[in-house]
Amino acid sequence: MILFILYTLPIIAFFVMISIQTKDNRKLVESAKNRIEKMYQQPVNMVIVKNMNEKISVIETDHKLKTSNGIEFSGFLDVDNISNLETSGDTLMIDGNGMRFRLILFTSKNVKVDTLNSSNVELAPPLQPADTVKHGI
Amino acid sequence: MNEIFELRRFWALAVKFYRENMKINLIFIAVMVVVTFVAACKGTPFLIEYFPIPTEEAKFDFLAGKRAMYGQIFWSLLVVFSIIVAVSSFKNVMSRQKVVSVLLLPASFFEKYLLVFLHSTVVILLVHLAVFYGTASIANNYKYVGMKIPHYTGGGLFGNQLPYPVPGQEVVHSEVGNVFRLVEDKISYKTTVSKENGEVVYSRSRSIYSPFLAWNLVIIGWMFIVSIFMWGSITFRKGSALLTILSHALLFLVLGWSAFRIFKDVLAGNRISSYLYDLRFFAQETGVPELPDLSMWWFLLFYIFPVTYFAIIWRKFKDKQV
Repeated sequence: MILFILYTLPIIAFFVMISIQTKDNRKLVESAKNRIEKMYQQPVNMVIVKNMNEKISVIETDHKLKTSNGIEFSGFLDVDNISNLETSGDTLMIDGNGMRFRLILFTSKNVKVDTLNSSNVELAPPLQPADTVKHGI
Repeated sequence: MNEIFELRRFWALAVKFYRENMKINLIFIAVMVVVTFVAACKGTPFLIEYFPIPTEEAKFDFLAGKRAMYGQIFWSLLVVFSIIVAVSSFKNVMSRQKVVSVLLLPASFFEKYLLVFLHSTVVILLVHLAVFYGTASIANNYKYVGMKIPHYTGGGLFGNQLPYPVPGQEVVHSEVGNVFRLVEDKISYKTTVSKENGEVVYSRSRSIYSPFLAWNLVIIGWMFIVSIFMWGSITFRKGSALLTILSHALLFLVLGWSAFRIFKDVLAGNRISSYLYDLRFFAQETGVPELPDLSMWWFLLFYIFPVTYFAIIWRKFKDKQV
């Protein structure tokens, strides 16, 4: 019995460790999601992309947006990079420093997009209603 | 007179134990000598092996390779011999004919336990050390020979050329080396020059496997194996080696299988992500949990395994005494 406990305890400790980590990660994801949700509630007229080495596509469209503030992201975002997306007034700043993601940013026609020290920003032509978009183009 | 431990009483007990078991111990040592010698000769004691060492690098590789080989032989055989000794450590206690005489010996319970413990650990280590260096040195004197200027002749198993000795040839014999030198205490130095002000930054780092840590890990592993078989010796009356292996194999199989099942389920549910429209947030891209960056020193906690076994053996032995 003691031997069974001896061998079982490390396994239990291992699973407890994983469970704690899972719980923490779940919190992080929820907090990141809430932050972006709040961002979607603020009107945005200007987007500045800076220090961007990763590829990011910015596509002008009106019919695709499900949000009312003029921007919408599509793709994948590591929660550790959530602070790289910052709004100040009606300006959204996307900082590419240390970012790991594959993103497409959909903007409405009245949103102006500017880049700073970013070679990989792809400004795509306005999207037509029949067009489909794949992540990471 | 101390009732728990007294050196003279313990010494008398040890003398009695070794005198009574002298014959079997001598036979065992003889077996150790033969096995170690054959192992040191890689199973072919009558065949001399020649190695070309035309350069200093080749000589270094030859010597280092043989030292590593002797180290592996030493530690492997220590495990094998320790298991044999450990599995028969409580043979008298488990024998219906001898148990009464063992328990009635005028020595304390602690002294009897200590004698069995030391016999299965310290004594076997010292005997193996003496046997190993004795026999390996003999094998080493003729078996592996390095030659400065190699001459070759045919006759290899696959039609290859083999080096052969020429009279007057300068030869180098391999070295047994220090089998206790498990890891080098590697210290690396890094010097960086700052671009801004030319300041030189000098840093020193040490290998994570310090000799102290490596030693502890080896002791833990060895003691763990010894303790498992000592437990088997005091648990099973007959076929203790086989039953110990079977019972532990079964235990590890059940625990391993359960852990695998749970781990699989945890992994399946561990891929944490959430969507907001088309944007997916993730905290762990692969779903494989990242274990905390623990220090290697945490491995010292594994001492709990042999210590627990020795505590259980103590309890079982004490129960018999009562």
